[in-house]
Amino acid sequence: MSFLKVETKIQEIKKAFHSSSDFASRVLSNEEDRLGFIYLKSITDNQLFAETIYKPIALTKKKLTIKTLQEEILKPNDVMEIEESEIIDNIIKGSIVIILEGEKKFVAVDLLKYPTRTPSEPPTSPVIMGPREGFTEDFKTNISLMRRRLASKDLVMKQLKIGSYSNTKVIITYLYGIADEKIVKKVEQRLKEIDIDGIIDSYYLVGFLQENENSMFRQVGMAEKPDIVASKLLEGKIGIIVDNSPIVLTVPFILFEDLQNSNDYYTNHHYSSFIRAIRLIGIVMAIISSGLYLALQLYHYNVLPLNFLITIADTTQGLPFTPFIEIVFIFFLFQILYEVSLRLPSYLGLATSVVGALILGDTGVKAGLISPPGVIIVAVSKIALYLVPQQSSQVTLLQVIFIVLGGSLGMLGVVGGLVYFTNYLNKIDSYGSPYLAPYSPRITNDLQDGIFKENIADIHLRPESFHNKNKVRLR
Amino acid sequence: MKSTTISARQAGMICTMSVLANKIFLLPSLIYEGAKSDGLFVVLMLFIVDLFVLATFFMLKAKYPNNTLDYILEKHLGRFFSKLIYIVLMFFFLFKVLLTYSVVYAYLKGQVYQDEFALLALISVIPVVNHAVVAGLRSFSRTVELYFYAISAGILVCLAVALVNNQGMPYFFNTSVPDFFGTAFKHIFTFGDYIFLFLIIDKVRMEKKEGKELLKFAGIGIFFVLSIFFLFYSIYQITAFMHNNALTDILSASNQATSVGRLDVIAMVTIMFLSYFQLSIFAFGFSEAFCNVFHKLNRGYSVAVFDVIFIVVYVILVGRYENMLLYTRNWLPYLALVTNYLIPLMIFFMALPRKKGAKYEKNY
Amino acid sequence: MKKIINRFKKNPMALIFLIILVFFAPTALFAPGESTRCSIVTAVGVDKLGDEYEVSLLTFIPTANQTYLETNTVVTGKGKSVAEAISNAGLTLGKKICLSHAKTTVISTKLMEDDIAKDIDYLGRVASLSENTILICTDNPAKEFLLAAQTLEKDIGLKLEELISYNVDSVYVTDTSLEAFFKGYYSQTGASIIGYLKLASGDGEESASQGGQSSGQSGQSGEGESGGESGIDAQDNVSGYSSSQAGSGGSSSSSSSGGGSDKKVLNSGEVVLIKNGIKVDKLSAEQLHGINIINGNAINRTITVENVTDERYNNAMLTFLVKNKKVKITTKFENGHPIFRADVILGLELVEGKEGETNIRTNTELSDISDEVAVKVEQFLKNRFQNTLKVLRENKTDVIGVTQKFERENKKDFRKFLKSLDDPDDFLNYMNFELVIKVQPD
Repeated sequence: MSFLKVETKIQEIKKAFHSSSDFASRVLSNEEDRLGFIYLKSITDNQLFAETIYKPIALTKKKLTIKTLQEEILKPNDVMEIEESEIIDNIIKGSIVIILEGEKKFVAVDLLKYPTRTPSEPPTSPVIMGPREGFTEDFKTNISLMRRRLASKDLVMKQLKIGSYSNTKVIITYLYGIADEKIVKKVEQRLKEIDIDGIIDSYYLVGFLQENENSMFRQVGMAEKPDIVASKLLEGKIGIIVDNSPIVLTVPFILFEDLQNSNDYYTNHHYSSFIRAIRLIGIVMAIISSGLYLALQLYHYNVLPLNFLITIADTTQGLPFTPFIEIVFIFFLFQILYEVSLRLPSYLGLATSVVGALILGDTGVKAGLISPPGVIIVAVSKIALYLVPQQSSQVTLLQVIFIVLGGSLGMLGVVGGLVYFTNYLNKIDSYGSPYLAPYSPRITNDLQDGIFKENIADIHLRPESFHNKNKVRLR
Repeated sequence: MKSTTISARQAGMICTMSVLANKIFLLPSLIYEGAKSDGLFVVLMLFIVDLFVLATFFMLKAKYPNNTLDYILEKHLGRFFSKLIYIVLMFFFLFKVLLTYSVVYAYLKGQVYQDEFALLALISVIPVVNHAVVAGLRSFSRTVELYFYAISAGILVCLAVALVNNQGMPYFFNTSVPDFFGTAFKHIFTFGDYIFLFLIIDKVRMEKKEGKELLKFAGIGIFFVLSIFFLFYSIYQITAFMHNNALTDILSASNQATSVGRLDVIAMVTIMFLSYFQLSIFAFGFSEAFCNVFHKLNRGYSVAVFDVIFIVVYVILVGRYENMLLYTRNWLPYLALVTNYLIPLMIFFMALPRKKGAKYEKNY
Repeated sequence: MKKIINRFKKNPMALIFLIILVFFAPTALFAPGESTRCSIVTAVGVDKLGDEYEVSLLTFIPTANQTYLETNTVVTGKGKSVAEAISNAGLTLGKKICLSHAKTTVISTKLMEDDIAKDIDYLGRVASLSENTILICTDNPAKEFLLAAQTLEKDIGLKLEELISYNVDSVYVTDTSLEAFFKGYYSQTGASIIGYLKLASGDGEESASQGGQSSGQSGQSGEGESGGESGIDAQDNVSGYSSSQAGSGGSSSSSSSGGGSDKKVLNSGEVVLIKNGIKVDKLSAEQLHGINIINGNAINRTITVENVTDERYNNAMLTFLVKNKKVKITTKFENGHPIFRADVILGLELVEGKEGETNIRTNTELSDISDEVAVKVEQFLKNRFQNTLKVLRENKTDVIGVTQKFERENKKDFRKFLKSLDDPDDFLNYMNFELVIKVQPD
């Protein structure tokens, strides 16, 4: 390459960026040297640029070469010497590229500045007493949150890049010596094989990480808080931090993890056992109660206690709809209200709840369109759903299935559905962990942290449901 | 390849599930007709035979810890007889499924659905059973494990309520010897469920003391059946022949049932779970035998064949419970003689320890 | 198309679900609830008119309402058999008759002049009717009784099944269900007990229907809660409906409901003795108590003794409550003669006392039971037992389980004993009964 003119080079790069509006360039010339700065205004720190780069260079009396820039003038900064081919990459990453007239190589200074959130308590997993920090969209912050909790040299972070356009940074993190290397390799392999245009959120990876791909049950854990991820890493699981996503994925995953809540570990274990039992009952109720009610009303009224039956018979007498239509109608009404209240701003959310609860529920009953038992049953199943919010989407689908089963096949269908889904879940192995462990199959050691949780001081071993190397957690 | 073994504990639970369902509904009443309250001893006697089968299983397992039944049979009897045994077992399990299905269907029709619901029952039962077979022994046994305690609790509630209401012992020793053995022979086909274990002998993981676990759970099943028989006879005594559904009837005779409401919903749900499990076990037995007869065909084919044969035989031959009852009394006992006695006896001889000095073959 | 097939190949269960959705869900979608297709029967009454059966059903009629409200009506149907009559009753109601919630069966004593087992055989066998359905009888036609029961509920909100289950638990104490009847019927003795309720033409005074205080010996104590206008007006529409539907029952519209409201259910704690399905005698509440002396479950009864004179009281009338009871029954043969012996230990609590015209002025909580009192109580109970035994001997009915006990404990001797009698049925007359009563303070 012959003599390099700064302006020409700048024009060349600007063209590569399709003259984006946030593309910025400066040219600085003193007595002997001319140099150019190229960067993207939107992702670089302009003030820092002015004070730590532009000013020192403008004021220096030294001869400007790559060496002097790197070793003397810009020393406090993160300065790199780069090839011509790397210019665009570095600009995208938020660096300022300095072109020195007459030099074949270039200098890049990292001045990346994204708009970031400070770690705050995530809305989905609040705790009553316990750490309130949550992950943010900035993966550097997330890593530092993890490092703070697991200050060990064994906390390994492996970085990958996925997405041909998004170039998203994905970090596989695990504790060396605890996590099973085979699983780490398997996860890494799976992630490396992904050839996709972009990863916008960590959920994009879930489909690739699941072993049973075409399943309605999620087989990857999702956590929004560093304390949860840290405790999972200590159990031998593997975390996957994705840039731009406040959700960290963990594998292997078993269903019971969703019944465990971080609150359980920050309160008395007797109380957490009670709450876990309630959660389990609630989630089972959420799944089958509507279907069961339909089955009883349509096929098995003879097993209802007389007084209960009389209440139902009285309240459903004269309704314009058949029981099946009624339940489906109420169900969809609730689902619509739920969707609406999610989307609406909070001040309008109040209005929807008034409309939903008062007008639709109460007036619907008074007008004789729907029956109070029907409303209660569906409402209970819809509320109980949020005892385990992570599973709400799966459970909603199951509710629909069980309504159809209970309504069209009766109790035999409901029981058959339960047997079928249990069988189905038992078939799923998430990286060698039985999906319904520790109850099916029973893993005696893990029952300590099961429905009936024991004191932390009594749990000596890591869970056996997951493959891990170092069994002892408490000596 | 994924490992497909199950633990001894799970095998024990499968044993329990395989004896329940078809014995705790119509059977007590039918046996009472023949043998009065001594029916309890009939059942006990037939169970002792079953326990002998279980003992044979342990012996065989000790001798061939990792071999399939196929291998063992072929080694001792040759290819032809081994296939023949599998064909017999195939029929055995097919009729077991038919029997269980008819018993459960008769109960559900009379008490739960109160109408004809043949199509509805088929569409609820067949897919679930098929899926259980296709999903494989491992996931099925895990499912059994998950529901085992819930089902046991259901049966125990029934037993407890019945016990509170119990009015004393049944009259024993009222039957003549021919009646006693005649009844035993008539109902022999309902027993002999443990033969299923031989089919999965290579898949049961049994270390040193785990055999006990299997025995413990198998014992629970026998205990349940016997106590239901006992309580049924002691509650109803001379009117036992009028009552067809032992498990629900021991509940509904109690005063508690009136004050709480209808307690028999517990029995109803329990029986539904039990029947799904028992049907799956027998269907699995059929499929296992089928796959051994036709080596080239995989499990999916066996399920398809099972469905077709099951539906055709059910519709043409069985139809009603009464027909099935006729078969179980008339010619199925002869089949049962082969499967419950002859085959286990043959296996027993195979399981006898080798002579001293004989060469030990390496297991593959 | 190929895509769709592939999709189902991937997940065959989705296909099954689709089949269910397409073939079963539509029928279910338009199926009304079972409570509108089937009637909820709470009590069944069986009468016989000539050679036809008339079955009356106390049926719950759902009325559109937001709260719990039980509206009942009585429908009747006739037929050559009970099953036929029941299904005919369904015709008038326009619903399938489901008996699964029936807790009471009423038969009229007229029916019991002949073997009733053949009349209620269907009820014993039908699977939907639960085994513990209580069997009671009344002198009037069962239909009239059910109409009265309907009024009873309207007037004082007392349900028939509540009244009867109180009777069964606390007054009869013996099992008087359909099942118990059949058990007795098919047993060696063929004897059983069923409850008996009277209908009285109500003039307000006699009409109290709770057997509340009337337990034990104190007979009936009328309170007359349901005053003059005993609520026919409350549900005019319903009774109108009832009568118009039940027109075939032989009673015209107004008289049917009027007949119900005129008569009151009267509970005096009586039972009827049945042998081989035929009514042989009626036991009064006192005679029933005689049987229940040797029934360990029958507690909370009062025992009143008079003219007690001991170191504490002078000519006092004392009422004790039986707080607990232990009964041990033994059978033996002495010289080929059967002896039925009952050892009864009673724990008594003094609940009321009078000395002449004045109340006793001692703390009854800690009162001991003196020998005089014990003797009096023993005498009282023995008399009562003997009285009952007399009735049982006269009627040759063994409802206290003598046969059962001997069959279990002394089978051979007992059979020999029965053979030695001219009339084995009359064996109670040739037996000795020993009642040993021990009284202690609770």
